[in-house]
Amino acid sequence: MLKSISLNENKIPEGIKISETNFDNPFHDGLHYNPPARGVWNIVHTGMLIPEAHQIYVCAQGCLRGVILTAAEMNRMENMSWVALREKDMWNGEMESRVIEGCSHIVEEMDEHPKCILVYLSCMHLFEGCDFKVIANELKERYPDIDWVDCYMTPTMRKTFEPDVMMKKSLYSPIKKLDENKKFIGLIGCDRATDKSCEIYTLLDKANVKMWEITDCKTYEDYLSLGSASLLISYLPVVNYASMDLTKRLNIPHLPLDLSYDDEEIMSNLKSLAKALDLDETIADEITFETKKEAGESLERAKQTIGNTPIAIDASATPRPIGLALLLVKNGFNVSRIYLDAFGKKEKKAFDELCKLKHDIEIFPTMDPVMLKASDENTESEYLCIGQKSAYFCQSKRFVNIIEGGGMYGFDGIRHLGEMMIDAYLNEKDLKLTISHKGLACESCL
Amino acid sequence: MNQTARIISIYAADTSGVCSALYEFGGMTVIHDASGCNSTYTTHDEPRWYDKKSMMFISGLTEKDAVMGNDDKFINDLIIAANELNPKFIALCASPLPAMIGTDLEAIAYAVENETGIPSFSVKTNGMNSYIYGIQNAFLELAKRFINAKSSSNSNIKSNIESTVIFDNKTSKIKVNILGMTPLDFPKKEYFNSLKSFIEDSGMILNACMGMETSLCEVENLADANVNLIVSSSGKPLGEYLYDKYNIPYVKGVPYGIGFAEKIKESLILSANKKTCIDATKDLREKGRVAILGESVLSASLASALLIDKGIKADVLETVGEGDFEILKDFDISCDDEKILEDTLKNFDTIIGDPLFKPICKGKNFIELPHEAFSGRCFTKNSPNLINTNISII
Repeated sequence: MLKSISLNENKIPEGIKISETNFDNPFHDGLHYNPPARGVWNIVHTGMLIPEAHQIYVCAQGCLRGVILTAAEMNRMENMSWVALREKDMWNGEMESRVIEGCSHIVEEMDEHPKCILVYLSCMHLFEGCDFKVIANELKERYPDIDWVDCYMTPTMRKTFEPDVMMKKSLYSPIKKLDENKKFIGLIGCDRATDKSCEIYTLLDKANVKMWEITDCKTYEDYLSLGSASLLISYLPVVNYASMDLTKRLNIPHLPLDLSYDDEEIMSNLKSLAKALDLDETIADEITFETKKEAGESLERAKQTIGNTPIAIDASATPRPIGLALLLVKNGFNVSRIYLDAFGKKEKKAFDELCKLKHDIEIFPTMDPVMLKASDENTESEYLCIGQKSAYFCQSKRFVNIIEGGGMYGFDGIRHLGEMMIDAYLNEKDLKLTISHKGLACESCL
Repeated sequence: MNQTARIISIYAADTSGVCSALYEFGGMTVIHDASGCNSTYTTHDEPRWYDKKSMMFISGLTEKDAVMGNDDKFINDLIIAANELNPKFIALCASPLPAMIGTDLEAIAYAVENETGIPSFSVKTNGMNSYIYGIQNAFLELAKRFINAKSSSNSNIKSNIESTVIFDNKTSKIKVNILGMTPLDFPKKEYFNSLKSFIEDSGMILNACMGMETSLCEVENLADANVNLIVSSSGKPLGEYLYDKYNIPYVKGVPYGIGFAEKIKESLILSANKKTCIDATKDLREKGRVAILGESVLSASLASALLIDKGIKADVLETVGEGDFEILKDFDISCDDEKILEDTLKNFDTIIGDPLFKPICKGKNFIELPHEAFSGRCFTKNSPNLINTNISII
């Protein structure tokens, strides 16, 4: 049964005990509230990862406003253009020509053609039955020196294809097949750089294999070199659709190594990678002997520092908030709150175990309208938070400022997280200033 | 090319305008939208979002609901939220997709009001107009719904149009409404404070503000005023409504600088006494080599202030594409097309405008005047307060 979160007699939202939460549908999906935590990336931030590329958005003024100002705050207006749709465009049957002529005008206004242009179409195009192929073909014919990429800003489709998932697919679509390099693999799906100290890199070193990460690409050619990879790996769930497309188009196998906080799953992933790199699987045991120990020690130090301070976690910090909570509870931490709107399908095992170990952890949504009342800016809380949204809702200056796992992976990632928790506990942050910054780690004019 | 821009920004949309206008009145405002409108509004168009809570939500429309016309879900979600949060009113507006599929928000508001007993109304938007359109409609709808005509203390009804009250500002003080004040044009609280001080220092009383540092009580008392001060295009339709229905005249202009502020003061007294509407900028404009980019009332006011205080002649280049065009002179230009604007700007020596216009003003003396409705929070910290003070930007 769906739970509706309510305000208590003090007009503060009351969480639901994890053991009383429905895993498949924890909350009623009604009106949406938007907390002022801006670290999570959007499609503009992701598109800017392609070096020497340009973005053109074709949509209504209200939709343009958010993406244009995302670029403005990144100081990247040079890479951003737009075509506004007006009411008359809905009825005059010229949706396709509006895109084609608008994009052509923008290209003509440029001093130099960019190597790649991402064209973002909207819900309006989708509902008009706009012919995307006609647009793509015409633009390619007019400007064959430019790689034209169709991208989608279609949030009405979010229940079937999330914008992030669609964007990840578009992000790699200019990649073409190159001569295979057996000593070169690609890490896809990550907006943020992955820690070079993690076990993935250690295994690659053992196999004398180099890895492509989009965050390392300085030129468009660097970016295109993914086409020579002999293997694609990923650890964030948002990449599945993109990996299917890449595997189909480029015939490069994909190995998912899901981000996890569970010993067994981490080991299983690393052994799979070792095997794919033609290494003996036992090497995974060897390289994790030290890192696993260090992870345990790091958590122990964190526990000594943090003590019984209540901990809150939110789903913007990691795709596995339940798995992380379970790890922390098993290591003696006082996890009290988790903020999420839905549970990831792969978290069921951790969920069941957590319900048994600490049944009274409170689960809160982030988008339910009553969450407007969740934070009291005049009262600072004692919570140590992992993620910006939990920090906002708890009004805590002690928080680990990460999104999507923070580039931390494996036992090395756990070690790093433990250190970040200690740092967060000891060094308070300016909550409002920190979470106001749009797109964590991106440049900002604020 | 029309509707296309290579490098400049775009103004806030009508949906953000509605939310901005209704922010402080205790209601629940809901944009019928999939996702994005809420984040855009609360990140870029609403500087109050972190420090001052307000019930601003979206419906979370999905493609299935759009295709199947599942309005019942929206109605049900509105009722659930309203019962939990007890807003003073519920306002609904549409993003492009509901506008495209013809969602009847008026009927939905009617159904919600019937069920909850909470005053509910829709505000006309489609996500394709500027913030001015949204604010104008929101203020009008709110005023029509909540003005308490019976509280009107100065016989401000059309039948008494001949009656006159002589205000000497000693025995009988003029009561002033500020119309069209939102953070999209006036992003800092200090602008409101300056405007309030200006009114009070002029021997008048601030009756109500639409809509910063305000409450629903002020809307109810709108008809008690003797004169309205329209400080942006967003306040003009409400000003006209109050004049038509309650015989409250208006003065158009923002009291920038010293001399123009004095002119506004005189105009307010004259307008209240004579019951006539006054454009305070009317005789204070001359064509020049300086261009002011932006919203028409603010820009024309600045041009007038520059002429009086500094003898600088400036043209207005209205760049929103919507607003009060009557305040513009023959030599002013309305243009929301990047290419035409860039070519037009070649005729000027100095440009005063938002920093995000700078890339199309190459080789010109560019004076930065941030405008929240154009560049959001990017440059808010550098936004100067020019109200009733020396203009130091030029």
